[in-house]
Amino acid sequence: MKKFYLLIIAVMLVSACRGSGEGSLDDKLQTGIDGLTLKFLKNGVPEVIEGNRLSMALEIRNEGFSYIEDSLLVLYTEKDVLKLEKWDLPGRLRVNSDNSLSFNLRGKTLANRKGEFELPSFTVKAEKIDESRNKIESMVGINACYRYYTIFSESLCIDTDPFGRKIASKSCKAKDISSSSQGAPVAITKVEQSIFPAETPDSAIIELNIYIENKGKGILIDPEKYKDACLGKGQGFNSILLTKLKFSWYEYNYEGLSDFECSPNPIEQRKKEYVVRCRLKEESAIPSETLTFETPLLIELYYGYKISDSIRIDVLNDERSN
Amino acid sequence: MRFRVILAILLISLTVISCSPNRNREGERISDRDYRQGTKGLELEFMRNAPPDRVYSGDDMNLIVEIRNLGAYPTTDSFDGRLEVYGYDEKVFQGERWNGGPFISPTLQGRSQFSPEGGRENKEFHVDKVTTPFGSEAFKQRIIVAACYKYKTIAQPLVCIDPEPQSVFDESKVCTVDRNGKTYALGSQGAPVAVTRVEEEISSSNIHFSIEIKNVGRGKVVDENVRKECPLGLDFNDVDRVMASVKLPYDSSPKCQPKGDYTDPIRLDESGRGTIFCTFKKPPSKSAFETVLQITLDYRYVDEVYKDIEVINIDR
Repeated sequence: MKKFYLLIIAVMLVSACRGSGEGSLDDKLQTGIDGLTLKFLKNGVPEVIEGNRLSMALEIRNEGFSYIEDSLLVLYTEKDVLKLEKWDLPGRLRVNSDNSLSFNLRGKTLANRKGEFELPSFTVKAEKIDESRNKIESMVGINACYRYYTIFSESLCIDTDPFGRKIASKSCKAKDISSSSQGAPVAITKVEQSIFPAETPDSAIIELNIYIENKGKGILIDPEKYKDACLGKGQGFNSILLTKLKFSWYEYNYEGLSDFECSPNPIEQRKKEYVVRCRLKEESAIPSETLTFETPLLIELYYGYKISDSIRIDVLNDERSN
Repeated sequence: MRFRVILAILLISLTVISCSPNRNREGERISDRDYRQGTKGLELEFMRNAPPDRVYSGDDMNLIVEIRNLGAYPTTDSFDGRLEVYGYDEKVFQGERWNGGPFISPTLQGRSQFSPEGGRENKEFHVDKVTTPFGSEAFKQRIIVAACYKYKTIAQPLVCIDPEPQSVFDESKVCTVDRNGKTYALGSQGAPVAVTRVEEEISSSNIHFSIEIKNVGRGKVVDENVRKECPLGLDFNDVDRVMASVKLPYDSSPKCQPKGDYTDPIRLDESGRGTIFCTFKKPPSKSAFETVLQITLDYRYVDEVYKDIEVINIDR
């Protein structure tokens, strides 16, 4: 009988836990501050005896929400100590030059909540080292440069009657939106909204101030010249493009017709954060007969991003290691 | 002979049954019940799963609203009201319409001895397509259904008309009003706006009634003459306005302040209270008597019901 009760308790506990963990449909995919992550797969400091070869593996994973296309990964070694001999690549990765790869990776999806990953490996050959030294500590570095999107999607309350003239109840209350992350290294942290009477009678203009932070571990690079940054040719860019802003029937497009004016765009860094202001144009003002409503707000940012990692490899003197 | 006796008994029984007053389920005689009680007009409620708690992109959707008239107006087929649906993003719910139009049936009578529970009607609102703009994962939409309808409050307090309140010698008076006047407390009258109190004072040549009314329902009182715009086009100038008519059997045109007509209605304050002060002539007779003070309030009323639903993008 006791076993029966224990079984029931166990079943209840399992049922209670289900749904809050990984795989629950209620989990949001657009969370986290990572985009592409990379790490060397290692146990301690790898060692190799001079004249010998060492194989190492990397894990590259798209832990963010957006798709990574044609990303560049560059491996750097101290060539007089460790020489890259070959890559051993899974099918989807392509060798670009001796020390660089190109790849595409999907982000998090309902079917794969950790994002797609690949495990490329490479072989280096240790060169002869100075006889007088027991070992040389050599660094192997890796840079990855990619274009990425931050997609902010939250509910926005458009209060078309901020002074409470109308008697119809409001379906929502206008407020600033705060967020910590959207499944990308660049995060929209706050959206402030203000509404003003338009010059056209009986219509309103909405203004959104969008606050953005680079929350990831990498640096922002020019999305149009992102490969250069990994090849050591890139200039400092440190800007973000606001490519889309949409709610209900209103939208902003970086290239094309827009209901909004957004500036500055590209968005420059101001102290710690990046701020852009988007104001509905007079000709697109919201008519007063539109009652207060809640709507999904979509903001899309586009940027280039560069991340790096490195590992120490000890090259041992052949004679002394014996 | 026996057949005739049986037939006679049957006829007498039928007559007794048919002449006895009707009774409702609780056993009380219907004619005894006062239907002019309660603080409700219309009561709105969404039918279960219409709308559902969750809707998916690409689906159609139905809202069914059950409307019950729990007040005491009208007693004829003259109900005048309409429904509006709002509060949502019109890009999300496309191709929406009321089946049969937004107007509530004129047959939605209030409670009476012929309709003890009050009238009931279901209205269906159809949405052709639910969309999730810009590939949003899931988001909330609040759907508000508002009913704007004409309603009437009828209060008939029994008041004392004592033309000579100072005459202390007439001990056979039916009723008296003392020097400080008389106050009549009223409950509710089967309508969302109620006459809550009547104060009577008698001066040398007139009888004065101060009548206090209150919005006792959960909705908003709006001007009776704003049929078309109600409720979405109304602003704060249109609310808390009640028209009133006050009569005594012998004087149907008192001087009232405010007048209580369209140009000068009773204005309710922030707490939903308002007052009309009416001055009547004294009756020709000097004897005191009791009579009904007929108070009729006309207004429109807005009641609402809402539901939050989650819109989920399954195409993502």
